[in-house]
Amino acid sequence: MAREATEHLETGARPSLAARALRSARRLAGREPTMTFGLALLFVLVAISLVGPFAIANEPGAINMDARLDAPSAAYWFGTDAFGRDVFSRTIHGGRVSLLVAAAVAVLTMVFGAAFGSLSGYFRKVDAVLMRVMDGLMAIPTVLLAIALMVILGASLQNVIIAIVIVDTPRVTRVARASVLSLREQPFVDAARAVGAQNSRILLRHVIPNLLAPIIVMGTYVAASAMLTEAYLSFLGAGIPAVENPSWGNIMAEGRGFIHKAMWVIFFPGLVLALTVTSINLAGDGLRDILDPKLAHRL
Amino acid sequence: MLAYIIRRLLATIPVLVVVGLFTFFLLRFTPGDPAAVIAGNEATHEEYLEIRERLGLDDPIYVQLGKWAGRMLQGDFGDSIRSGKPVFELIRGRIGPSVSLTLATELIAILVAIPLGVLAAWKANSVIDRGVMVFAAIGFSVPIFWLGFIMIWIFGLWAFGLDNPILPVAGYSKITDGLGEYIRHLILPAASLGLVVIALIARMTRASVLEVLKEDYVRTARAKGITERAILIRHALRNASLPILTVVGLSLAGLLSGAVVTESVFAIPGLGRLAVEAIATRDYPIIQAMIILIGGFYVFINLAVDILYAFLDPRIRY
Repeated sequence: MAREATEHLETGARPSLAARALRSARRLAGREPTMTFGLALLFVLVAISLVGPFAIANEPGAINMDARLDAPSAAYWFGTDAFGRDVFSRTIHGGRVSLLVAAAVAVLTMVFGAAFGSLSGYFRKVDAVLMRVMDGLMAIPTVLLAIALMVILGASLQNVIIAIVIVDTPRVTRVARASVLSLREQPFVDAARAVGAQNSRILLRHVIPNLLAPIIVMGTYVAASAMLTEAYLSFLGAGIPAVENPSWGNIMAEGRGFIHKAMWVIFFPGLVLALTVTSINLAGDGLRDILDPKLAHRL
Repeated sequence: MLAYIIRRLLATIPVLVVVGLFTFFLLRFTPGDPAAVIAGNEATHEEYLEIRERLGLDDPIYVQLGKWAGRMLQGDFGDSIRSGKPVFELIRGRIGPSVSLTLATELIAILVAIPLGVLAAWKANSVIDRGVMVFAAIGFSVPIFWLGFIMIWIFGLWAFGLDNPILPVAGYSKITDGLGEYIRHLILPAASLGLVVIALIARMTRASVLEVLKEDYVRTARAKGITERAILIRHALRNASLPILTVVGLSLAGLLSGAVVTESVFAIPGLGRLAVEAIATRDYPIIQAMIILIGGFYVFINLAVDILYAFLDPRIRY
């Protein structure tokens, strides 16, 4: 801050936006090298998923019976699967689905988690009921609960998102609730109450804005784990149907029968999935250290 | 102490009730008529009506819930729709492999993760520390089944174009059929399932040892000239053991979830495989029983960890 202010005086003009962005990026890279690495990797992976589908010649669903289970080559970078489909093209298209699931689940669990968590932390009576339900949901193993929900909902992209949101919301709710419990005892909440603010105003204006840091950090972890859960669901045959959309999980599920002959069908989508989840986790760790040092002890 | 244990036991009841209600309504909300599933395609209308009557599907929902809860409390999980055998018997036959896999994984994880975590905390902010943390971040991110397949590919020697595995890549060998084979069959599944647990325990160990190393009594111990080794093990690790115990306990419950995936990859005839088979064939009584049993196990582990706290740390008074 101080240095920025003096520089501004010396040059007589504010540095351009790009120059300032570059400088803060460099400062961040120096202080949080792993986080910067994670963010950069994530940026590249997201960019490839968004732009890639327009740049690849091979359609993800195009069947080529003359090129079944071909090893990686110049024509097929990641090889081909049992139907002669291009694994590279399917992986790129699958990335869009996985990223969509991750983003949708993260946003929805953050919204529900913040809402349930602040109601539960703020109102004792709501707490007794709501947290018992959350505890019950958390007692059921993630993958099993998600599969059970998929049985009820039926296999589709939208239902995968709904199922994972139900599975992950209790975790975010718990963190939000813990934060609200300490926030409600803060002097500024007492002050708001003393000047006659209503509960709804205290919650919306004073409590929830202070929840943002832990919720955003939890959101990154949820995004990472949602991607893995989607892969597990699809792998176990309870996820996104392969005919509807290729996803990293269902590409690998289709390849499992050919592991001894054509391991690339599983290897590449899994590697890209692992890279993406790692990059989100690294970014999340850095974000946690910056936004919410207290949370570092609890996770 | 006894009062605390009783209070803690009572607190598990609402959680179990929620799990129970959830599983009950899971069946009700599932599209399709259970009676029609059991009757199959060749049943006459009379046979179908008889099954409906027997299952009590025409009773009001609260009567059904009451009867169902009564049966569950007696440990009667009903019969499998597919095989007609009692669910309890089917589950009992699958417990051995799952428990073996879970314990083997936890053992490997503890042996690897705790030294890693202590080392990272001792050499905080060094290259070793960063290495351990990046390894942990990767451990959280690698899909379990993918790692399993890579291991099968490498140790099955398919990676080298050969066909005779170094370690068995599928199946399960009972301990009664020889200890050597039993262990050999568990190595690859436990290693692939263990990575995520290693990551979890290593991180928690590092964080809590780091915390303890800042304490005054550690400085005093150093001043007295006690060796670093003794400080790390006798002072730091011992005082850091409570949070570590928590994650070990929680991971034990979480492992059952991972086992669903791992057992499917390594063709291990355990509970996870049973669950996946039951889901594929829509065998609802089995799915229900699995959720209730695993949920109950999770609640029990949580309880056990809480009670162990009091024994491990005399400073905790209830």
